Amino acid sequence: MVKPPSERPLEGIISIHSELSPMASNEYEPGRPTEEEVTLTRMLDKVLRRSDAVDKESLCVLAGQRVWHIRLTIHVLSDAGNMVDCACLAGIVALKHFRRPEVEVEGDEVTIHHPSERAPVPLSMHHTPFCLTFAFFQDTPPLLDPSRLEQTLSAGLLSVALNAQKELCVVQKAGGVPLAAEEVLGIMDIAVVKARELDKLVEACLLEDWKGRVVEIR
Amino acid sequence: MSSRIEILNDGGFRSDGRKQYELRDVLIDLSQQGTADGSAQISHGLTQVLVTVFGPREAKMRSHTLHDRAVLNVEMSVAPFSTGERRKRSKADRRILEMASMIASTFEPVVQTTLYPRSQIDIYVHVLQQDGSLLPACINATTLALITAGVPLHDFVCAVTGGVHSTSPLLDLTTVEENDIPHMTVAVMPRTQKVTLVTMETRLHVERFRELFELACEAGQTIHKEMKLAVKDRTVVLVGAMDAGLKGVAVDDRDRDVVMEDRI
Amino acid sequence: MPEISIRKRPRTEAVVTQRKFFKKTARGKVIKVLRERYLRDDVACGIHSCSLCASQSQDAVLPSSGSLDHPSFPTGHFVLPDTNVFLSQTVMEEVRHRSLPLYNRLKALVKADDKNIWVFYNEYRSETAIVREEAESPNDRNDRGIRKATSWYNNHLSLARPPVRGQSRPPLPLVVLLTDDVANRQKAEKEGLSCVSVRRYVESLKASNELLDLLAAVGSDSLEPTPAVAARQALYPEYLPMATLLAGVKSGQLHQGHFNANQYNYLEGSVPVAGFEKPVLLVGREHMNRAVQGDAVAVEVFDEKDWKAPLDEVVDQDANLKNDDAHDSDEEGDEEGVVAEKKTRYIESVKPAASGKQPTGRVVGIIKRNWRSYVKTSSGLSTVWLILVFYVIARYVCHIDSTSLTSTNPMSLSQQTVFATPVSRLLPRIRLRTRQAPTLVGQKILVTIDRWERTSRYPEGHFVRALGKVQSKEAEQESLLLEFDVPYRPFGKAILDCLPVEGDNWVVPPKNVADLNWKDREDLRDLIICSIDPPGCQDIDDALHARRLPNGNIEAGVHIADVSHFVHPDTPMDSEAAARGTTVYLVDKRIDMLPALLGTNLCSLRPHVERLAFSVIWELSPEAQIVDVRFTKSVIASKSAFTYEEAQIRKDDRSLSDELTESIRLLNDLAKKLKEGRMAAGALNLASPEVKIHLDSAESSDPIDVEQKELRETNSLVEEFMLLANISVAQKIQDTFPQTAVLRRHLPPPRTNFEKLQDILKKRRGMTLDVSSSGALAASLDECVDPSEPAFNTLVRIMATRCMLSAEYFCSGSVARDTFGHYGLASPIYTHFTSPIRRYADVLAHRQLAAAIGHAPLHASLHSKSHVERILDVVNKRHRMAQMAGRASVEFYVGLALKGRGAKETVIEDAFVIRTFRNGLGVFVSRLGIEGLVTFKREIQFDADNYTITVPADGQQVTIAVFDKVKVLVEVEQDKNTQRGRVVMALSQPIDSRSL
Repeated sequence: MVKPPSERPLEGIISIHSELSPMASNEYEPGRPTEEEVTLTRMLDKVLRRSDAVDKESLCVLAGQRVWHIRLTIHVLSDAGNMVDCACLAGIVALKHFRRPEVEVEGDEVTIHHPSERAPVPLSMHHTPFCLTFAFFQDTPPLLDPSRLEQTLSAGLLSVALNAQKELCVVQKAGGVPLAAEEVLGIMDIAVVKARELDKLVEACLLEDWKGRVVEIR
Repeated sequence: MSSRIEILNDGGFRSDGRKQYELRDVLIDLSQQGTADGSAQISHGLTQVLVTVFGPREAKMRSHTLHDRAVLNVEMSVAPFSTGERRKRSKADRRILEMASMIASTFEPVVQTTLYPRSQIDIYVHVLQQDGSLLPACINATTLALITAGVPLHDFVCAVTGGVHSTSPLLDLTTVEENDIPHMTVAVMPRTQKVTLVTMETRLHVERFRELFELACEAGQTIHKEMKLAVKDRTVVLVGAMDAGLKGVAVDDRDRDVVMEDRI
Repeated sequence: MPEISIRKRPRTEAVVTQRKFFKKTARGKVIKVLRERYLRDDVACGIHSCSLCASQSQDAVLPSSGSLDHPSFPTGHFVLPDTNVFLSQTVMEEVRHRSLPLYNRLKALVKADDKNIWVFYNEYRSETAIVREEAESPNDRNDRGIRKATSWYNNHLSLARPPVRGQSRPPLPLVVLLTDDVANRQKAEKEGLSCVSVRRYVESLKASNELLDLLAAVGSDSLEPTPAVAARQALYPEYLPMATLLAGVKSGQLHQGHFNANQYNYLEGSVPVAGFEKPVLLVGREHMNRAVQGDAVAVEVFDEKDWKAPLDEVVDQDANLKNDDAHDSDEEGDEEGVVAEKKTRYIESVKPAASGKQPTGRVVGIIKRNWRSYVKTSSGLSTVWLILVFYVIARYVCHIDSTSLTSTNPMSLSQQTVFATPVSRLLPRIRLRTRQAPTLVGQKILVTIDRWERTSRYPEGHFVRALGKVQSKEAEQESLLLEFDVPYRPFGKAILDCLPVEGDNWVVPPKNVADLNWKDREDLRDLIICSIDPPGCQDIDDALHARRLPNGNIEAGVHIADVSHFVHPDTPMDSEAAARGTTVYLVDKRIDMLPALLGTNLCSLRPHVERLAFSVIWELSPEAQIVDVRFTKSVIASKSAFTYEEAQIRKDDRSLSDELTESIRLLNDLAKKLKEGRMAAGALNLASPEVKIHLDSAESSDPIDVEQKELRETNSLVEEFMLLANISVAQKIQDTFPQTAVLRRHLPPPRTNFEKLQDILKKRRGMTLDVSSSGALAASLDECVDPSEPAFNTLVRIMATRCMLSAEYFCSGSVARDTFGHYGLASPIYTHFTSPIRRYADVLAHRQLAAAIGHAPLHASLHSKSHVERILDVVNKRHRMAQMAGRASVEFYVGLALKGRGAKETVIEDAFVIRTFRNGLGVFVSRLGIEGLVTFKREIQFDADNYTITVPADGQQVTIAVFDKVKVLVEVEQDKNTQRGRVVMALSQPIDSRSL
């Protein structure tokens, strides 16, 4: 719990960190962040934070005084291509799975209840965006979820983040091989289908997980 | 105050008197900028960007060269006076860095870099005034600056922003509009009708996206006409100057030659 | 594909097309803003078949001849009004700037089909766009813009219809500028424009009278000061420093009390204080000075000559403040008029109702905010207690007022300032900033109040969370729980860890003296014990038995679930139960005080299983006199669980004569005698409106009908024995622990509480109410009978009940011995012992009783007076809240049922008038158990002394008085702005109030 910045006194804070170490892939070097790392961080930021997936206003405890600061760290264990999608998926599932301790405000006094005392509560989510990356080539059709080899050989990438309600959150295609408008729109249609599938999978997995956790007996 | 402004009122007017599909006034100035090889200043309404291009020239750092093509180096700076609130922005600001890298990757497949192996083309983007549609202004100015520098391109790159207010699409957004409604930037290559850049960071339904995307592609053509006109005008002036007499121009040419010799 | 073009802006006209101004951000930074404006020639004039604008105005709505029916302008005319039928854009924007809700209504008006209204966007038309000149006020600039538009229109009309050679020029319609601003009119006349004031324009209209009435409220022709002048003035007086407040309260100059808002009139509140018999009246916002319902405030009482009587009027915040703007707190808007009007009425009302005067004062400081209380550190026994004891509601369930939104665009990303209207009528509107405003419209949301500045009319808060769609059962239920601060979270792990590890399989172990479960327990498994409860009851706290003794006396026993065997002091489960205080029963949900395992299984005295109990066993004489009483922990096995109805049927069935039935009959006989004795001692038979909701089926749970609860003999049977047990236990624990016994009392109501009811009864019915003692009251209540109206007596009882104080738990050492009595039950001492599953006070009483009989030592906390006081404070509050929540839940379902019925038919119900107001009636619909308001829009005569109102209807005067039976039309209406469903009543007999 932290004091919010004065320009946004009513909103909680979400910060996202990604830990890329040479352990993940021999492409990474310790020290200076590569361009790829910058892209990854920016994309995570856009998909998980700027898309308003988490209701930041609900993280406000005492306006201007106390807000929740949610810190999401993504550790990359191994990178065999398409890091962005994987990291975004991991991030969003983590946010959905996470439960924060219950708080109670009495005047200026904030009481954080220990999870054993009161069941912790999930974050309030507006929606669940999933990131999907397509790789383009000069003369072969585009590929979804490129491996590292495919990614290296590709002539351009297009990343789309969207939720199961068919709402796009991020579209990112900077440069690379130029595409016709229909191609871009065709990709969107595929993304819509894939996002639905992912959403179902994630919901099922979360449900499965919660069955194994007894929070209450009523 | 900003919340007081109606984005699109019942009469179909936007807050600055434009209608839905009207772009802001585009002003292009292609005159010479100091020692730069090419430069262009473009304003979309109150957004004003100056781009200067140096090169192709020898790379300063050998490690940064590629053996088979030229490297594009984009540096972007935002003038502290470009917004209402004066604030010095560091060049390492992540948003600025990202925008610079987007410009670079947009132009990489457009510039015929293979003609200049082991060299570098420097693109300096200066943002003078901001009132929405910053990235399109930078891209359009870069296209024009590359053209005036005589760098061979496959095509123009023409960019424009679009947004959706409720269900009505709007083109060429101002800051007020960008702050309020979902919006995207699209850069097209008018000759092939292909899209080289699409970015969107706000939530928008797929169907709305489709509609807006097609509209923005179309708007790119309109921008292209304006840009082509400016390039033609400048060429006419240059040709006219060459025809008018060799004296004045000759001096220029000699200077240019010296520069060229220096480079080789 | 629409045509895409580039709009060119001539650089030479930069003065007109660019605008530079400074603005102050929310954080107080001043920044420069540059905006541009594109001027165009294709802004349509909106006149049908105009030759100049033909291409742009396909949907022009104004007839080409103008309006011909105004006598002053025989050649036809168009009206171009100033601030308030061309509307120019300047006008629209000024309205928008002043008040968003007003703007939204104006917009709706413009869109209405039958109106010939055209909005002319003069600021975008190149000829009419103007620039603010140096030293010109925004108001003057706008006036100039409107004048320019007028002259352009006149010019445009003559250009559009050039004279045709050879024909006489057709008469041109005139464009008339309508303004109430004298200065503007003078300037316009100088420029040769025709202009009139609104009044003059209306006066010369044909049907002017009606319209003139509407105009009456509008002030004279003077220039109204712009809101900017009054900006940033402090709206409320400053609070005195805390030290001064406390010193003032100590010295008696100031008075401390809890602020109560008036639910009928948002401009009135009261503070009951110790020094005066009647609560201190606070009139107007300024005197209430930012106090919110439940705040502990310090008030200064005025000199007696300034005392006022409460205004018997319904003043609805929603109706009066609909034009208030969420963005600018300092805009006085049109509410001032209302308040001023009210003030004059107060002065009037003082004279006739001089007797009703009560101390009047103003709030000078807040001692403790209800929503922002400062937790005192206390030397409590454990930290857990601290948290529980000082828990306060700081969150309110609200709706967003949709007209206060800047943009209803669901995709809008900008932060907006909006009004949230709390569900409770006792709270002011809360202003909050949120980025999700459009999506929150139509939802119930939770809001916290953060602060209330002197300069802000409304408190400021922030959005906590959305509860769901309005009217959806889930959202309504959750909001109800939040509203009454019912802790409905699931039980945490630490609490559940306190339960027996065997869970549902726990049983009373086989009898064994060494076993802890059997320690000091009597084996009563062979007794013929049964329980009698409402249908569907799962948490059975009590069971009974009775048998004849050989000596002719009767042994009767009350067996209560032994909750204290499972809930030990100072455990997480105990703390949680203390914090919850009570189980809350809603129509379709029960929020348990104890985990369900205990409440509905291990402690529940279910039939045919062995259960631990705490028994009170009396030896009673056949006349129901107590010969002896003993208390013991026991093991019982209930033989049967009856509903009231089943028990009644069994008792009345002559063919049955088994032991169980005999035992019920025996109990019933004793209960009758006990009741007689109680009534003779002066116990009150009070009434409260209780209704039962029939739920359609388990899945849909749609209520289909509402009916009043039926009371049987067996209800009374159980009641009498529970009372007896409670009284016996109360005596025992009071004897053993005179300082810390947990008792319950009902203070006799102050006589002044009954004054009004007595007065009404006397004046309207000629009846008297003797309130000298509870016995006298009971007797005189029995006298209040109207032979023609059986329900009248019940109504009087309900009203009398409302005059009384509520019963409360207390610690015996904290109050004087002579105030222990229970007024309603006419018992000198009382406690709660019989429902430990659902009431925490009972658990404490169990522990004390167990200690009193030497079963277990008393936990240290129950020896501490201050500790017991603190727990009971919470329990008292929870108890009150639970009752209100239960009532609100019933009300919600009654509303749903009404809505269902209302869809099929108009619902007309009998109702009694219970209150008269200056502009309405308070009615009580007994069949639905709800109270409602009937308000009249027209002026009516109000006789405060005789409690009557006189309504003119169809030439005759209809007088309605308190206690009159009327018929009302009941509807559930959804508030357009807040989406809040509310019951609306209108009179249908003796007169139809809808037409008034």
